[in-house]
Amino acid sequence: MLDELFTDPTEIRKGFEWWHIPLQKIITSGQIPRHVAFIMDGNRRFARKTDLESIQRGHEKGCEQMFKILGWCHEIGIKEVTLYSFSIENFKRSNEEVNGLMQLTEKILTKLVKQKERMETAQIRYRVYGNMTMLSPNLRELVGRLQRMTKHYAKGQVNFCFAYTAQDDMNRAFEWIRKGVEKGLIQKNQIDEWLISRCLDTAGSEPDLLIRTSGELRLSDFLLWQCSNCHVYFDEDLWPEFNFVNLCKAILSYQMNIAKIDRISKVLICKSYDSKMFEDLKEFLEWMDEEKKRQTELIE
Amino acid sequence: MLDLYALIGMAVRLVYSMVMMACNFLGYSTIWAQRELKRRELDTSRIKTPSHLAVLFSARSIKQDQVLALIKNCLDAGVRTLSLYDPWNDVVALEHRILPFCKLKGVRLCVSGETPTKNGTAVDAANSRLSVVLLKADSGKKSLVEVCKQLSSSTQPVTIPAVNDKLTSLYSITEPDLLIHIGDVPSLCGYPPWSLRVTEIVTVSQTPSSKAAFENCLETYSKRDIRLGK
Repeated sequence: MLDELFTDPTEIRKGFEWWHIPLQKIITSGQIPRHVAFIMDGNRRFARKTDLESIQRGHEKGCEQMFKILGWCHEIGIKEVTLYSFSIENFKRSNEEVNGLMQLTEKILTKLVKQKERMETAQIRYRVYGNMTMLSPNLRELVGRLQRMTKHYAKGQVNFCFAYTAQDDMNRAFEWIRKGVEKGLIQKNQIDEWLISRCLDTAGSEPDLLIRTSGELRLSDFLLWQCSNCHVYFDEDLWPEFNFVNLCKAILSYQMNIAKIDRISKVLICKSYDSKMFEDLKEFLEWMDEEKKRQTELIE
Repeated sequence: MLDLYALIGMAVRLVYSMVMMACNFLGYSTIWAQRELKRRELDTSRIKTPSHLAVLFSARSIKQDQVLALIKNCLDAGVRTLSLYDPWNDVVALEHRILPFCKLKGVRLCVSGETPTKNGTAVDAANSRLSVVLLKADSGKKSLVEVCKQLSSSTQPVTIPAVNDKLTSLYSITEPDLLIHIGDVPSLCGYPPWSLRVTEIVTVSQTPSSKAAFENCLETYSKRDIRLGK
């Protein structure tokens, strides 16, 4: 199955139907969200619904669809995609399912790491967000290799949230700040929304559109800070059924509502970034980024 | 002497029983009505009441009578905490107008980030049937900034329970079971992000001030499959 996966989003034209092109033209005539986040829900229900032999097959189908969707996003002009792959809460599932998901992730990361030339051509940067201490040494090693290999690529960015919850993300950000204060690198009066955003896994990048599949209407502890005023779109279809039309509908909804959301954003004024602030916090940010790299074995 | 009132009473009862007989004959039966009422009671018993209900107004048309009706519906349903939020502070502006009603009904009213005594609410949390929290526009990310500042002075590592404790003690922000999103803006409009971890969201176009509309929201919530990661 994995050989069929699209590991290079720029190759997606292979997966385009003839009618995708006019639909894409209609969609791209409006404003395209720069950053889209997905809660990929419904793999298990899809396995049950379609009588697949195991839940694991449902996750594999979801994985196949994920690469297709990444390609469509790239083709439409979305620069950054964040995918909720595995929540810390998902460790509560059966050992069989958790192990299956870990093995699937390992296979995907290994495949991505091995395709150095294709990755070089695609110029897509890959990042993995989450609590790295919860991952196996092998998985951490792969994450580190993938991130190192693609860190200078700038045509797009794909972020996998693995062993992730938003509260854990915010908690870790607060802890970095506390350590910064303890080390004398930050003054308490320098703590603001910008600094917290910068200390999160997403490092200041916030989605414009959050899509959740499978008809569930909750955020499941995903990017709570980052999505506090973005467009939240709930889709009835299960993740492996989420197709090009579903994606276009979500973007159309974003285009129809962006003005209303912008009006509310103006009310919720956040202190904006200024270069002096960056200079004052430079030492802290450099220290934090180095420590984060060390934690994910980014330093060779 | 025959009592005239007793005669009238008998006549009324006779007419009533004749009308009921006619109704039963025509198909309208009180037995049917009783059954229907019983069925509705059974349906109501299947409705799960959230302990903490949050309401997010995403449009600027918040009326005092609608807020009062919401509070009354929550009291009737047995909701313990009601958090009200809008990004313009329109709900907070209603504080003094809803305070007399809250005092009368034994509801604790507080504005997020302010001590309850300041706004004159006499009822304390332990004695109240319902706590109503009016969340300010800056209860969202700004409250987390303040919590972060406070925790940064500690020598102990920051933990999720510590953040929860600070948010509760400083801002009365806790995790709602259900969020009723009113309006057509498909965004969480800056609602305190930390607390929306696994909150179920129900979107409605207008404030569910009528009992039926409110029960519809609770029914939708009751049908949700809450898995908490499993």
